[in-house]
Amino acid sequence: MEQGSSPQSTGKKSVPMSMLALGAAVIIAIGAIWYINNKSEKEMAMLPKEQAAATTQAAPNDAMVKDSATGDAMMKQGAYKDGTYEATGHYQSPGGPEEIEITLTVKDGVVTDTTAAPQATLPKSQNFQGLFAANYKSMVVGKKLDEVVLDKVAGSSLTPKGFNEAVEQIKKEAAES
Amino acid sequence: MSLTPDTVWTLEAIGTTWHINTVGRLIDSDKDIILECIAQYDRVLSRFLEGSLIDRMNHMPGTYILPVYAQELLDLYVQLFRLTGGAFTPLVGQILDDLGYDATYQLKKKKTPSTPPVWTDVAHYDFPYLTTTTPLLIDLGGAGKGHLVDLVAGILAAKGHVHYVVDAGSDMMIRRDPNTPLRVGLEHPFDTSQVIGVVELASGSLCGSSVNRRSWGNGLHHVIDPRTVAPTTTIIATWVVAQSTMVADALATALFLVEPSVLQAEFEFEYVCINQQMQVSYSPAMESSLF
Repeated sequence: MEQGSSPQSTGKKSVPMSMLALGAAVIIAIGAIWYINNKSEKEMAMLPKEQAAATTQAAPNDAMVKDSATGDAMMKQGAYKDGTYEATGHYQSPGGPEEIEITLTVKDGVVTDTTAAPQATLPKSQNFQGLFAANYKSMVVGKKLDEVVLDKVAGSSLTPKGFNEAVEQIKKEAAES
Repeated sequence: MSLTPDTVWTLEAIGTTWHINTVGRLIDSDKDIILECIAQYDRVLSRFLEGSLIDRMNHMPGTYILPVYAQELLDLYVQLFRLTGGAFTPLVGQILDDLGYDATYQLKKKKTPSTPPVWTDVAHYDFPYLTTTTPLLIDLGGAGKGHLVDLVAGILAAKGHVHYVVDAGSDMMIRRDPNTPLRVGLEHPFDTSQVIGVVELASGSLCGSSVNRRSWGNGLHHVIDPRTVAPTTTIIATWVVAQSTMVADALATALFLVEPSVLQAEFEFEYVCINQQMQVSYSPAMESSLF
């Protein structure tokens, strides 16, 4: 089969606000972990999830202030035991509370890897978390239909008509009961 | 002489809207042949029609003779059953029915579904014969629509059409001049006013499968995983480009159940898959199609 390349140019896209917000949330979570590690004089160990969750729980706005304070902590190197650290970041989405799990790997005192695992349950949050958590290349980006020249759209196989009516009927029954 | 197939014939059949593009209008007798082809296919292979072959198999075990055109479809099911270790099976019919996706679109769970029998344990297939040892509710929806698109396209080709598009609710066969490929947007699974990419295709088949529209309750949708006896939860949308619409349709369904590499062992195709976290995976050739 033949496929041509899209005539639309594929330049760099500007970073959406939602991504910045999520990015901030993760930096906060990472910063919070470092903040705790810096304060403790004990040997580094795996942070129990509950403890991490408690310390990172904050509305994004509050934590923004902390971020600059822990910025220094993040820069310090050499004092931290190699290992993998976990934390759960909590934030308020417009639809309700959501979580995102952050894992950091430390080697030779430097953070060598971070992963973010979305725990979102609300579709919109899933959307945003996916945008943040995915490898940049595997991010799904949407464009409005009128921004793109199209002959057709392929998505779900169009729903059978009877099916739609049946769903409407169920909704009616549910509303009445 | 190549012309763009600009004339479109729109019809409703097998519960979906078809758009058939040809160069110049189709004559009435050709339309009749196509309508009869679709009606016959449905009469025989539909899970929903009383008196269909499928319906009869659900009431009585025995040896059934399949129509000629069903051979490639059953062969494909057998191949995918083997390749996916049984995850892709015609026996999801009973699970769908139990969950409410039945002939009357009850859409309410009727009973808790149980693990379907292993296809090869209860059915012996040796074309044209299909012998069943117990009543079975077979569902060929995973590849049937795509197969029917191929059959309709075959009628157009037999009538001398070189350029055409046969589109049955997003499962399509495209035959266009290489200089004027069809631009098909890939619908955003959560927002139908957006697309997540554009596929340009001049010659080939494209099928899309998504669980957002045909869902009728908490997690209930029409792509069933027989291993969990429930609708799948990881992948939410797939698109496949392949040489036939039957194969593209089947693989678009199978990608909800197994990794692409499993299917790449025996099929040539391109794909795009989106999971619950809106992460997308794709075959290399599809990268330029995504935004």
